[in-house]
Amino acid sequence: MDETKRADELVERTLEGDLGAFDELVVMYEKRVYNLALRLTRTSPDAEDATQEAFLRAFRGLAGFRRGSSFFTWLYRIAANCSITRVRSRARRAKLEAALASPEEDANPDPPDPRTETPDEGAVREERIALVREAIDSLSPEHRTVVVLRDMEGLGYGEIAGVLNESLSAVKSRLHRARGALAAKLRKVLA
Amino acid sequence: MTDGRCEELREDLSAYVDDELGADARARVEEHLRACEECRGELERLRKLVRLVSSVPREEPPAGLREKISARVREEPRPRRLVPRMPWWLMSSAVAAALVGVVALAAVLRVVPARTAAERKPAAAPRPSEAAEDARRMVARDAEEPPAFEAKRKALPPAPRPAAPRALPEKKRGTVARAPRRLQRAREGLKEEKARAVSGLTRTPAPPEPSRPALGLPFAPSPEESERARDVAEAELAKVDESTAMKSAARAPAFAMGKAKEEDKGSAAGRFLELAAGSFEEAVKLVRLAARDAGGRLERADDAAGELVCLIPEGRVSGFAAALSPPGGKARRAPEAEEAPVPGARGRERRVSAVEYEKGAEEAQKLRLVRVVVRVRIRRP
Repeated sequence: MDETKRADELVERTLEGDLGAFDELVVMYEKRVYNLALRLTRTSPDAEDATQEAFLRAFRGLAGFRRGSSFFTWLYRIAANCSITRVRSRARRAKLEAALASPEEDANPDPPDPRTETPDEGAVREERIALVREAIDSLSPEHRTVVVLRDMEGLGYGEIAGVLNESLSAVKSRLHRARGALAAKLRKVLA
Repeated sequence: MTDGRCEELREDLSAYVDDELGADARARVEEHLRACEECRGELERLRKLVRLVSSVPREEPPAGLREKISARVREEPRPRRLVPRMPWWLMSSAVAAALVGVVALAAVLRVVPARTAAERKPAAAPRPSEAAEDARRMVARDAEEPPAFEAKRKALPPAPRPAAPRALPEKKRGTVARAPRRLQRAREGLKEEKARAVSGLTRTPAPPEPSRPALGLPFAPSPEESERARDVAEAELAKVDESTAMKSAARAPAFAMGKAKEEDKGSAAGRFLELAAGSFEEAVKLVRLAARDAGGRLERADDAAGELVCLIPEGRVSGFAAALSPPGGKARRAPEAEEAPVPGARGRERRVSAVEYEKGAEEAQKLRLVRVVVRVRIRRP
């Protein structure tokens, strides 16, 4: 069954009182929501909390969810909001904002790393993945969100617009700028 | 070759990589790319970046996360819209509209011979055809639930048999006159929020015949039925207006029980059942299954009010009740009204009591459904 239809069916069943159906929704989307939250909050405990909160909020608001719209987009919007709220409400807010005060392009995009010299291909790949994650984590929340939604989660522009509640053209230009910033940070890896 | 167009098109380049450009913009970009080596290089870098980022695998969520979510969800109140097919308030107003139609039709038919009665309050009720049409329209709005739609269509008044001339009591006529206005308000969106309010049942002239919270579907407006239908319509409208009667549990069950006793003596059947349920979810599952087995359905489940409303075909109610009986015991009568659950005191008693009410129209035999309101009280372990 098509995932959207399956999700709609599970939403319906949940609304009829079947909590097992909601558990299935959690299983379907847990990993994706968690990873979105992880990239947005940047720490595993925060991501876990944000994931829990996102599903709880979705559950509470399920009656207001309009059928026909995408449950997944709706859930992502909630998850993105939970994550961003969490990040912002944290004590490290000040630190984050200090980091953001300087233009991203000025940040050291490619710190020297001796481990890239390792002959083990698996280790190289792991290292590259770690670098990409690190680079994404160092983006501003606005840029990070759009890059994660598009390039890690594979959402279309329309879906991203739905999640961020923005226009398509806003998504397009934000993604363009975010990728520019990310490319600058990953210059060495991309070379 | 770099010119002003490069900057202009760079933004499109990102969307081009994602295949998110319209045909015109894509053609523009491709035309430029053919001529601009630098932008081709930029395109390659972009593609590489996208490949790199999308190659990053998702991380596994921490073990036990889904169980935590599952546990926390179970501590939450159920989402409010528990009958997705047709919001209960819409159902109520649709039924009310149908009932107003019945009442009005019956009133008109009576009024022809009893002109003087009619002249006291002319044009108080909507024209029956209008009311019926309204109800049809409202019911038709929810195209996703053919059975409900069908049931409601059947519930709409057929050609009534002529009724004996009888003047309406002034109070009751007032009730009928209020109905369309309140129905209108109901349509304008009085929903669950209103359900927090105290019951509006007291507004109904109570004695000697209080309106009832349980509702049978009228099929032929005999004089008795029409009178009853007025009461039912009033009760339904009161629910829509200030909903729900069940919310103020102390009053509602007392009221309902009084009614049922009266019904026991009368022609229509009515009784109370007391049943066990472990939790509200369990009650929902149990009741839904039992209702389906009986050929009926769970119409509404309101966790906040602790009640489940079912429509059960007549003649299968006892089977339905038996299915809900506690294991090893048979359904027994509920205690007196004073023992009715206190509002907000959910969790004290493991108890489900059911109130049923049937209409008496013989010619509607094949269509009769019994509305069963199951009240749930759960003791948390």
